Amino acid sequence: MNHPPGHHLTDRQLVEPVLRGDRQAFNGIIVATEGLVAQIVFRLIPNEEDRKDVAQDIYLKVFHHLKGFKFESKLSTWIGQIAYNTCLNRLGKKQPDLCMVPVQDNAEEGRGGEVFLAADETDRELLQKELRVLIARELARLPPLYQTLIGLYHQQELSYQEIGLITGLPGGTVKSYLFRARKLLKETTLSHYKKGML
Amino acid sequence: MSGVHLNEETLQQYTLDPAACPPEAVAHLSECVECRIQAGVYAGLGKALRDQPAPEFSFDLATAVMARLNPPGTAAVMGGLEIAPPEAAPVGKRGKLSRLVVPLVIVFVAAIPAWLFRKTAVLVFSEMAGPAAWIIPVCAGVAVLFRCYKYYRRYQEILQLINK
Repeated sequence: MNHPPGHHLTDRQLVEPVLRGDRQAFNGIIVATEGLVAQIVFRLIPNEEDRKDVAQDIYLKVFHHLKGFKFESKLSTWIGQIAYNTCLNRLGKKQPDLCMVPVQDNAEEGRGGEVFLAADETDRELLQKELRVLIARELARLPPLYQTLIGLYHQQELSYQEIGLITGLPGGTVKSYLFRARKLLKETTLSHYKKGML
Repeated sequence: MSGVHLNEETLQQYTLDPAACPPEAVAHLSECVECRIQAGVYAGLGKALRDQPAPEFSFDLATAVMARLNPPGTAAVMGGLEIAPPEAAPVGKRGKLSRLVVPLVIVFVAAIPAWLFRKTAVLVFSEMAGPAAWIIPVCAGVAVLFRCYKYYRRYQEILQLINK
C-alpha cells in the first residue's frame, strides 16, 4: 500500500498491513517512531555500540509482539514503553540512576537572570544560541532519567500521562522530576553566567 | 503586589501554560520585575530545550532491522504466527541423501547390540510373567519417545535462536 509522502498514517494503517503478513510495511512503523526511540536510547544508553544493538532489539521485539498491540494506547507510547524497558534490561536496572543533586531554593539570595532581559534583540539571539550550547552540555550532566523526561516532554512534546505510561512512573512523579530537572538546569546555567560576569 | 516572590513551581507553570496559572500569580508577574526576569529565564530555558538537536542514530535503523527480519531463506515468527520466507531453499542431492542415510545409520547402530544380545533378551523375556514382559518394553518405548520429544524441542529452540 503506497501513501503520498508527508501523509501521516494512523496507528491502524501502520500496524494492520504488518499483521496481514506484509513485512515491508514494518519499515513505516520504524520511520514513524524512530525519533522517540532515539530520544530514549540516547538518554539511557551511554555507549554508541550498545545503542546500535538496543535500537535493533527494540524493533525486533516490537515486530514479534505486534499481534499483542490492542490499540488501547498510541502505537508510539507502546513502542516507547518497549524501548524504555529494553534499555533498562540492558542496563540491568529497574529504574535509571537518579543521582540527586541537592536543589536549593535560593529565593532569598539575588536570583540572577538579569542578563536575559538586559540584552537587546541581536544580543538576545546570540545569547539564545549560546544558551542552547550551554543547555546541551548541562543536560548531558543530568541524571539519565531526568534527561529522558526532558527529551520526551520538551522535544517529543508528550504529555505527563504519556511519559508516565512509557516510564512506568505516576504522572505526578513525572511532573515533579521534570520540575526538579528544569530547576537544576536553570541553576547551573545561571551559575555559569554569574561566573562569566565575575 | 505582595512582597513575596512567586515560587519556582509557579514560575515554571507560568512559562509552560500561563492559562493554567492562578490569576493572582499572573497579576503579581505584571507588577514584579524580579519575577518577570525569573519567568524569562524559564522561557529561555524551555526554548533552548525545544531547539536542541534531536538525537539521531548514526546508521540506517530501518534497513538494519528489516535485514534482520528478512534473513535470506528463513521464516520470521510474529506473535506466534509464522510467516513463510519468500522462497523455500531447495533441497539438494546431498540433503536428500543425508535424510535417507542418517536414519539408516541410527537403525544399524541400534541393531548391533540387539543382535549381539538377542539370546539373553529372549531368555529374560521368556522367563518373565505375562504382564511384566509387556510393561518393560512399553516403558522403554515411552522413555525413548520422551527423549526424542526433548531433542525435537531443543532443535526448535536452536532454530528460533538462529532465526532471530
